[in-house]
Amino acid sequence: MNEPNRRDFLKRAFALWALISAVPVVGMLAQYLTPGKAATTRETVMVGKTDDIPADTPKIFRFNKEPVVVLLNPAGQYKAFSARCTHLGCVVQFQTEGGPHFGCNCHGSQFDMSGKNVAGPAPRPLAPFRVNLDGKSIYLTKV
Amino acid sequence: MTFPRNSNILGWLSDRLPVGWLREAAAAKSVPRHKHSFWYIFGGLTLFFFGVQLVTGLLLALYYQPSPEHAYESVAGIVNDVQHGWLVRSIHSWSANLLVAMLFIHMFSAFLMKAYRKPRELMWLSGALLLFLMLGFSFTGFLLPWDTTAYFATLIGTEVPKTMPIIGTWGVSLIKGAEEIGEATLTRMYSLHVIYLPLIALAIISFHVLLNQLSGSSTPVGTAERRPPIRFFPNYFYRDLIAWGLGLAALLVLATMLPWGLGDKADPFASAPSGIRPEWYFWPLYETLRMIPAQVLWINGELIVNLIVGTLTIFWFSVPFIDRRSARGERSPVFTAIGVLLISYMLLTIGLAYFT
Repeated sequence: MNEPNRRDFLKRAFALWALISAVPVVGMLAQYLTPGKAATTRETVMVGKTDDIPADTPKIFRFNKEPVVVLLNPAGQYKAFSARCTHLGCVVQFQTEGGPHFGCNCHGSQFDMSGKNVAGPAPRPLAPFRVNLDGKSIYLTKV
Repeated sequence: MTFPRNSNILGWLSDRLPVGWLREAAAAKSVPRHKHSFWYIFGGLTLFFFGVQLVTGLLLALYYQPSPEHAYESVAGIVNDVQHGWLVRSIHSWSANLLVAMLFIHMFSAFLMKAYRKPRELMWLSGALLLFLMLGFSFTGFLLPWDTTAYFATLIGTEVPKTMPIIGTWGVSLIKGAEEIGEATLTRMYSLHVIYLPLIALAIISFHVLLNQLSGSSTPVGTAERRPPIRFFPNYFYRDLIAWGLGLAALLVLATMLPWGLGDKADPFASAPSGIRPEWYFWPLYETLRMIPAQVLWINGELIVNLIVGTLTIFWFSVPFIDRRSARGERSPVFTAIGVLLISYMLLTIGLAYFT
C-alpha cells in the first residue's frame, strides 16, 4: 500500500475540515429556520357575554389564537369545545340537517353537540374547555 | 460549418459569442419518429407554461403585498383596479393548472415509454424533482390571495405531514414559520414562491433540458422507427412552436371566458365553507384522506396516507434503478401495469371528488 503523499493528506484534511465546519453551520441554519415559541398565551380568557349566544345556536369565540365554540345546552348549561376539527384542523360548522351537530366541510367529519366524534375521519372528540360565568361574562379555560 | 452572415446583428454577435457552435449543437439533436412520437410535445408545452408563469408572476409581484392585512386587498386591487390586472391574474392561475396537467402527461408518457432507462436516469430524476417543485409552487402560491379556500387548503396541507415520524412536526413548523397560519406563514410561502423555488426550478430545468439535448428523446423498447429521425432545430422546434401557439390559444380562451375568481377574505375564526376543496391535482390525496378511517387497526389514518405518499415518492425516484428489464432493453409489463394503475387511481379519485 502506498504511503499517502502530501497532496492526499491535504485533500483528506480539507474534506475533514469542510465536514467539521458544515455541522455547526447546518445546525445554526436549522435553528434559524425553526420558529421561536409563541408569545405567552393566557390560561383563562373572557371571550364574550351570555347575551351573545342564542339558545339554539352555538357561537364561535376567540380564545388566544384558537377558535372555540360555546353553546347553551338543553339543560341550561354552557359548554365549550375547540372549533378545530380533530382530523386536520379546519374550523367546524354548526349544522342542523339530520339533527343539530357540528360538521367539518373539509373532509366530512361530524361531532355531536357534546363534541364527540360520530362520523368521518376525525380521530378524537373536539377538545373541551371549562366554562366559568362571572355575571354575564363567559370565561374559558383550556382543560 | 461557418455561420451565415445574413444579418448584421447576428454577424456581429457571432464574432463575439459562439453563436455558430450553439446552432450546430441545436442541430446535432434529432427526434425519433414512431407511433408514440406525439407524446414528446408535452415536455415543450410544460416548459412553455412555466415561461408564462414566470412572466405573469413578475407582473403580479409589482402589485401584490404579502401580509395578512393587505394580501387579499392587493389581489382584489389587481383584479378590479389595475388595468388588465384581472387578465394577468387569470392567465397566471389557469397557466398554473395547464402547467401541472402538461407535466403529468409528460411524466406519465415518459414512464410508460420507459424513457428513464439508461442513459437517461438523470433526466428522469431531475424531471421527478421538477414535479415536486411544481407542486410546491402550486401549494405556496395557493395561499397568497389569502381567501378562505387558500387559508383552509394551506391549513390542511400543513397538518397532513405532521404525523410523519421524527421530522413531521418540525418540518411543518419550518413551512408555517409559526404555530398558527398567519403573517409568518404568508411571508415564508411568498419568499418560497417567488425566490427560492424559481431559482431552484430554473437550475433544474436548465439541467433537464441540457440532458435532453445531449441524450435526445428515447424510443420505447420494441417500437420500430417509421421514418428517419427529424432534426430538432429548426424542424422539430417549429412543431413545438405550433403546440405552444395552440397552448397559448387555449390559455387565453380559459383566462378570458372563465376569469379566475377570488373568494371571501380568510377568517381563521370562521367555519370552513361547504364545498371547500383543493386544486384538482391534489384531489387524489384529498379523496384518499376523506376515505381513510381515523384508525386502521392501531395505526393513525393520516400516517398511513403519509406512508403511501412517501413510498410512492421513493418508488418514483428509484424507477430507473429497479426496472431491470427495461434497463436490459426488454419489455417491462409490470411497470406498465403500475403506471396504468396509478393513472387509473388518479382519474378515479379526481372523478369522485368532482362528482361527490
